[in-house]
Amino acid sequence: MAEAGGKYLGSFSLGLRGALEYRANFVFSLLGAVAPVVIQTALWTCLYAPGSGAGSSGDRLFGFTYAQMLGYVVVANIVSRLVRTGFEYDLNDDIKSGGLDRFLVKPIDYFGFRMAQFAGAKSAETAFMGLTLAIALVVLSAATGFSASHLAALGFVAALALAFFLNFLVFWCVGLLGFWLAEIGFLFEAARIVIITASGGIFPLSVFGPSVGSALAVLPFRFTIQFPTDVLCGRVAGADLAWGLAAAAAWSGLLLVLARAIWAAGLRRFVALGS
Amino acid sequence: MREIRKHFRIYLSLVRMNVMSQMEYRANFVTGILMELGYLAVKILYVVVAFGAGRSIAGFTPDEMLVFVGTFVTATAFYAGMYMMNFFQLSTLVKDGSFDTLMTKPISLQFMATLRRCDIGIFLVDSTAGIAMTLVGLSRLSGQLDAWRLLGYVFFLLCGSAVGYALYLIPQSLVFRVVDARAIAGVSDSFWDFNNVPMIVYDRLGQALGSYVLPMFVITSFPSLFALGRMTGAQLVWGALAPAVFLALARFAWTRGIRNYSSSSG
Repeated sequence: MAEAGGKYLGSFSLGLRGALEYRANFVFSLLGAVAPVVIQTALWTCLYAPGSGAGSSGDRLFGFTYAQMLGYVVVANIVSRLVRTGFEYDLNDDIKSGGLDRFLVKPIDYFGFRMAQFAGAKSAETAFMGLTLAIALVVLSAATGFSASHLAALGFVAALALAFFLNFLVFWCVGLLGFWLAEIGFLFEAARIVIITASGGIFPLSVFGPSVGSALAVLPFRFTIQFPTDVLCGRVAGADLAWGLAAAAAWSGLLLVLARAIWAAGLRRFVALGS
Repeated sequence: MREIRKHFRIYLSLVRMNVMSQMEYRANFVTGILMELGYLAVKILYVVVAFGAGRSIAGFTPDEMLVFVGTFVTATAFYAGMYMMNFFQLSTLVKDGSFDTLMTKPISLQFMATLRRCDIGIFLVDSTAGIAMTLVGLSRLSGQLDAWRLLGYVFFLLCGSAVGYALYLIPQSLVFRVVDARAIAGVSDSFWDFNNVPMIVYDRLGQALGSYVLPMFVITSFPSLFALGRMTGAQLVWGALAPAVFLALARFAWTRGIRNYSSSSG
């Protein structure tokens, strides 16, 4: 048992060291999170401005007051950056180059290896982004009166943990398409942008209108960005929070079963010659 | 002048080779278009928000917003279709030593490293959608379309594209120092999105910085402002001068950066 734990701890450490190897690259990647926040803050500030045709200070757009919208923009962008994957390219490379056979003969589960490595790579980013989020919340609180309760913060941690796992599973399933398609680098990017949009990572889902918004709310994607964001912003609490966490866990279970099924079907097609 | 003609001929040959190569891997070509359609949908979301909110943005109507976003999409055709992928690949070239091969070619190294690859699919998707959005926006605004405005618009769009190339090449010159510059390309790429909304949504300091220091707004806001008849005299002059200034700066950054290059195979 301890030996099995050691294997995955080693994979975790591998991911962490990989993330910290190119430190300049790491810092620049974090800087990339700033641009969308500035752009969207500027846009919403203009749309809520008195001269734009807005009403009183309690004026709502797409169901959000100005303070709520700014809170959403900041938290959603940080969550989006936190749950972002990248392992699907390595997975595809292993399938395409035949390198996967190295793992098949080793006493380690490939899914567990990638999961532990992903968690390791994310841990450094999570520590830094967690600090950034705390600072951002203090600034938001001073500027717009935004507040997050202790209970909301706890709910957010639980929702975020599920979001990590759910997003990993979503992109694991997408990555497994490599068993059937030879060149899918662009497809990953296409899937990523669609999934982020459907997750509420760019704008809240209410922007799409009631019918499209409701349809997107049924899918698992919103539990990766919009749900944790809404929890921290206090828009989801109590029974809704418990229901949301249960739904995210159920989606994770369902996707785990789906991932295992795709993996098994993919392995039956997998051929590695001379690697 | 002979050198320019030679490089232009080579560029046409490179475009032809890229098209042939893309046609060879059709699945990649199609997924590339799908990817760009995804990005296009995100850009259109900003228009959806403007129309959905039904409000003016700093005095600009949703139709004018459509002109800005349409111009941004057209400029993205140049950015994503002609030079972005070269910048993203620069790290790999330096890391695996393939950059050495480019150095041996009897043509400009900067030209070869930054313009040798293009994606005709992305270029066509973005240019078609961008031009359509701009024309729809302009046609909904009465009296905005005439030959003079159209010519000026195209001129500032080309100037903006040249500034875009220079502006995104400058940080890439760091690749010879830090080797793994994928995140630099990523950050530069995220800064491109500042053009998703017109420059008028930013405060005065932001507008000044984005126009004169890191002139991202020259790329898409200036052509739109000209087409909408809202360009100031200072913007008119700077919009025409900025390409020369920033291309010279990019050249300087590139030649300085290349001195730090040490071959990984040498």
